[in-house]
Amino acid sequence: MVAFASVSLLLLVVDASAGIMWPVRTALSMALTPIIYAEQAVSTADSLVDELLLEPGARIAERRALNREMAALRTRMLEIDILKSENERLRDLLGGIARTDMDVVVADVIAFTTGLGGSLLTIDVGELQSVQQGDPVIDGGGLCGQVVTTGLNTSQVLIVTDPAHSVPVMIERTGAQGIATGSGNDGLIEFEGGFMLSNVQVGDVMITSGLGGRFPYGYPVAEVVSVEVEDPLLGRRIFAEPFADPAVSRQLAVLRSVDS
Amino acid sequence: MQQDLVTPTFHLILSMVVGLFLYLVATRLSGGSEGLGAWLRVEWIPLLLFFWARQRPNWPPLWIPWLFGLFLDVLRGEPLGLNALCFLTFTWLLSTRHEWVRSLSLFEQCMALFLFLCAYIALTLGVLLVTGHNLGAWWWLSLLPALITAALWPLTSVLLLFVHGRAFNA
Repeated sequence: MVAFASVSLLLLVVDASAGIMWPVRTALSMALTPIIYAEQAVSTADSLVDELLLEPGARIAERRALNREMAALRTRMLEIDILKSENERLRDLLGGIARTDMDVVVADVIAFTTGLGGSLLTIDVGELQSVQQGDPVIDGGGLCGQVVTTGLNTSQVLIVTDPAHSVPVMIERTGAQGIATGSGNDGLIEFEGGFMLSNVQVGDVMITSGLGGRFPYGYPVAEVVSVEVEDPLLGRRIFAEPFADPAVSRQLAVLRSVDS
Repeated sequence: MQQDLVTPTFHLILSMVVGLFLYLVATRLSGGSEGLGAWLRVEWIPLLLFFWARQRPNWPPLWIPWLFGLFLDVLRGEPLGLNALCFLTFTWLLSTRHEWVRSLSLFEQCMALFLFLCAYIALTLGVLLVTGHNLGAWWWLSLLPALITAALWPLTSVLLLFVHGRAFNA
């Protein structure tokens, strides 16, 4: 009893003071991988059954719709390619620095856990796919969070609405810079510490500002839903609703930084 | 003789793995951290520990709650060692009161489990406070899982005896 208790206390002290316990966490999360996968298999079994029981007619219709969508997306891709090269030429002309290249790896969400320590998603990519601690994670809507722990084949993602999560953002319309911090249980994030807050309006879009270098510039983060005037001196509190919906997303993209 | 030692430990570990599994399923169903869902949960692991501690004196071996506590720390992103320490203390408390728990009726065991769980949750919150975490205004809702878990005890007891009863008669 005493031995185990002292080891736990030691762990608590060491874990609180420094990040040197990451290897232990990684090892433990690797041991947990089978259970996490088993749970995911059971949870997705019913949707799999739905898929198998789908009428052939419905399946053909679905495939047609998907093909049409793919054709449309291909056209969009072409446009984007053209815009990208045009953008690069303009950047060269202006003598600006090129945006850091990001490489994308697509991941499935295999678990969603919450504790007093925050809300974590577990995804099925890890060190083997060169995912690193701190890599930004996006879903179809926008920025979803960042990787906090990596295992061999799994990683844990801290989501943007968690109080421990902060990201440098700017208001797209006005250019006002600030930090967006999760506000906890109500699924919102708060825009803090910026200048020029007086003309922020409900409906303004926040994008990543790229300051600090961890998150690349330009990814949509959230839409302002309320502006509260709380203190005439200290200014207003601005709350925004994230575009990403981690509780619903099943597939995410991890932006790996490419060292060159 | 060998069988006597191996079988109960196997049953014990199996049930603990199922406990972790149930924890993951329940979290997925409750939809994560939004609103009241975060507080409406069952403390599966302490529930199982209570069952096993009732079955036999000086049981379960203390490394079990400790290891599964570490697993839960990682899953929930909590300070490493928090759940390990709390499960350990919980199990140790139970094993010192083994005879008393055995002498109670099933309903009285519910009450006892509730008290033990309250002690366990109080310890969790205490450790979090000491390590500098902010508990928030709704911390007292953390006692809700104790109520839910204790209410599930009679059903769990019957089910687990049905599944694992052989572990001790073999």
